[in-house]
Amino acid sequence: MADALCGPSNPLQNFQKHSNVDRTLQQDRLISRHSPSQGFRSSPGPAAGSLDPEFEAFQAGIPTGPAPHEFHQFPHQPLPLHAAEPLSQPPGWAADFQRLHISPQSHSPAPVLSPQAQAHRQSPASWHQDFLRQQHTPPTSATPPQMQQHAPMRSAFSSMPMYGMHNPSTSFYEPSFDERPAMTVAEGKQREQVQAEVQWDDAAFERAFDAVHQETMSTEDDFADAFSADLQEIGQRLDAQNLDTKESLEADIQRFKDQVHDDPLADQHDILDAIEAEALARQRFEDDRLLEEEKQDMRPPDADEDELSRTAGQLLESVSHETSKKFQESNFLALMRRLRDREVRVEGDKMVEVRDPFLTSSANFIPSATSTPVSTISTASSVPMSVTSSRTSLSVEEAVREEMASRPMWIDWVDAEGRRHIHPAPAADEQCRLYQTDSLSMMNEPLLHDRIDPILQDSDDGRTIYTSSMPPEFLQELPKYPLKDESMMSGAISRSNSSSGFADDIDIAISASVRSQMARYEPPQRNTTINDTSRLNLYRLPIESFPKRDDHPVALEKSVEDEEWAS
Amino acid sequence: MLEFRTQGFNGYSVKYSPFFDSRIAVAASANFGLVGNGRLYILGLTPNGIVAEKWFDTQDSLFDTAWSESHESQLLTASGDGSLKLFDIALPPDSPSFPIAQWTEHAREVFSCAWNLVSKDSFLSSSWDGCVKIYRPEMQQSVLTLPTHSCTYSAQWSPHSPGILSAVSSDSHLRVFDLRTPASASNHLTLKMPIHAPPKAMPGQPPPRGVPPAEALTHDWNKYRDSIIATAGVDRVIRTFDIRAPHQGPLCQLVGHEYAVRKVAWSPHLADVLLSASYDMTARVWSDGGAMGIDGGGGVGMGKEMGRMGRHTEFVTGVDWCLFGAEGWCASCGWDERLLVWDVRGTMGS
Repeated sequence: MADALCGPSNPLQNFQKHSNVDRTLQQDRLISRHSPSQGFRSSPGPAAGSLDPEFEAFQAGIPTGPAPHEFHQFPHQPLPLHAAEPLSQPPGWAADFQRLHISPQSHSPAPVLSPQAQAHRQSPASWHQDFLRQQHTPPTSATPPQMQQHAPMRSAFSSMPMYGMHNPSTSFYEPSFDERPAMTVAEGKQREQVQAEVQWDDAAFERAFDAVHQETMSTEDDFADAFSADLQEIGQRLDAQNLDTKESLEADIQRFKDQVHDDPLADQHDILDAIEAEALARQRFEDDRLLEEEKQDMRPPDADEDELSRTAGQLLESVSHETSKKFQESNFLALMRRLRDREVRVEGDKMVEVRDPFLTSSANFIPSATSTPVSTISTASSVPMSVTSSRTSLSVEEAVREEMASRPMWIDWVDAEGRRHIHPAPAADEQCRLYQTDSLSMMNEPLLHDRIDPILQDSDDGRTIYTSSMPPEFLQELPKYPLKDESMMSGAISRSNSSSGFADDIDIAISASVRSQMARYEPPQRNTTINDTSRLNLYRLPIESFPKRDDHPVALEKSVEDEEWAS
Repeated sequence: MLEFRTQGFNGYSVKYSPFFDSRIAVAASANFGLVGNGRLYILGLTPNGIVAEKWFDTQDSLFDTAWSESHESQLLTASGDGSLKLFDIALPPDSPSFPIAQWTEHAREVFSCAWNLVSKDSFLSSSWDGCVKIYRPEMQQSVLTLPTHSCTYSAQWSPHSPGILSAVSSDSHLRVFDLRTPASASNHLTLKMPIHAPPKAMPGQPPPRGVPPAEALTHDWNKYRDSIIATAGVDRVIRTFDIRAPHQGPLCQLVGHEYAVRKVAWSPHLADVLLSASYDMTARVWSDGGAMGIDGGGGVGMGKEMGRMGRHTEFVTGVDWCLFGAEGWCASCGWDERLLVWDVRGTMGS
């Protein structure tokens, strides 16, 4: 009953609430991730106020049947209107549009419509009749008056694929507005993708609008203005939309644009092709969605672990100001540290020590000046962000992006070609501290350093990108987040399971820690100053996580045998 | 100060037996209650210190325990698997240590259980699933479910009336249910009081400012003033309320704990004294200024901390007063795997 209220998926999380930590930032992030899942209607976009009355009238007027979506009525709205009231109310197009939504059944004064348009509106399901009639209409020249007469029929085509072909028995709300968003966009990692789509759609709308604008400008300037305004409104509303909806709307816009340009009779084959293409696209989308769901199903155990680790980190932060001896020596807090650092994890109903290759195999790698036994970590006042690990079946890029979205750090990973990438991840919030870490200092190790051949780049927003052969497309995908603080955090993404392929199964381990005095990240050739109050988590790249030279011929020019730099 | 070590198990709750002055029950959980088993200790106070007379291991963590008021050898446990278990310590030693009855009705962790102090024929449990349930030991199912719609960390019977019970929950509200009212849409709910409401404005003073809601973790009925309830929780403040005047806000606010307060218990001997256990690793003794029964409704802001016990080295999770003997003895347990029996008078005046 109160699951949603109680929230905790593990008891520690509940306990953590007891310690009265401010979690609003975290919640903000979680909430914002869900925002795309809001439906078309429920998101008050900039045009919500103006379009809602239309929708109300639309609903009141045509309560039953597969009524056309208002957007798809655009094609056949302007032209009947134009025929009925040529120039009498040029700016009132939107108002007329609203009136036009009121169906004949409601007996409200509606503009005179052409018979075809009325027939279409009264029985939208009979599109095929329109279709047939259309086929028998003799071809005419594309002079403006005749175009107006044929416009209603074209409009029938434009809305047809959506309702007539694909979903003959359902209204348009069902596939495109309610279910899909709920099922798909709950996944946070789709967010960036969706946003990208939004931008792309805007561009598409611009193009579509331009086409329409030019087409109509020659005949009716006022109408064109009003129409363009509404098109823009629609485009803005789409920002809150689901990918699928946008695709279909965009496809319709495209179709409408084509039809405005072409002879109505010449493009029937094109329409049918478009219908098929859309069916294919939908199928593909469905497949992708199922795939995503499968991935989701596979994730929960690790998600729980992540949650526990994160909660432990938050708990520790909430007591990080505590200097009393009791808190320093608390076994419970020590356990929390180990949970946060993933030295301990929950397995079944036991706490088990993690046999982590990061901790065991690489002890010799640690510069002795900075190495501290993990068990005697002190709670310095600057407790770094918690360490996470995502053993999921994401691609490298997805994992990187997801990780970047969740915490500030530097990311250091090696891609399938053996290229090593080190770059700053975005800051999650204003207060994030960035840390210089031992994985950066690790690069002081000549053995490793020789292997990566670094290139140092200064970006215009103050970030320093330290990379070797970073692919340009990945650079473009890096969010533009400035570094807020003087030190920085680093991490390593490395392969955890070589058998399943590098791009599919990765293990992100962030080595957080040594609080640095440096103002910025500096090239590893220089010495870094390490504060006494530093705390250190000794996560190192496991040897096997680096691609072997044999596996990845592109990588690592200077060769040192793996066994050699393991010792 | 007497000490017993609950080796390997972190204490969650301690209760003195209402029948024997030398018997204490401790509900404890492995791994701080995060995962793993639970263990119910029955401890005896002997001239040679505290000894474990018996213990019961359970599959899941134990979060609370309550002695039966009607049977001297039976006691309840509230478990992390959503069940209540009734154990009998009088069974012969060679019998398997299984509970004699079990009620598995909650969907989430059961966080408190309490035996009816007046009629002694029923008991209740509260859970994270947003319900308070009432049971009778002779029946295999609960007899009543009272929804609170939020994680209910603590539920208690009134020590003065057989049909009145109260609950505090994560929505920062104190609820009072009166089972004598007819069952209706309100589910016997007779009072729902916001704990975070500011105290009553006093003439000549600026109106007190409200505080944000915070999860309430514990509460207790005063044993002498029948309408006074003390609550405490995440906001670290112990507040006393008079349920006769639900809109006037807290009578008294006891400020001092540095972290969330996990347990409060009114003294069975003194009308104004209560004991608290907190995540700041201390147990503290307070007076709310309402002593001697002068005026239960007065004394706003007169409370003060009277003593502090800081021997625990981890979070203190449970405290209970001894009903017998001198009026200051109490027991506390914590996540340091220790049960301490001590006299609050030894902590005062320092």
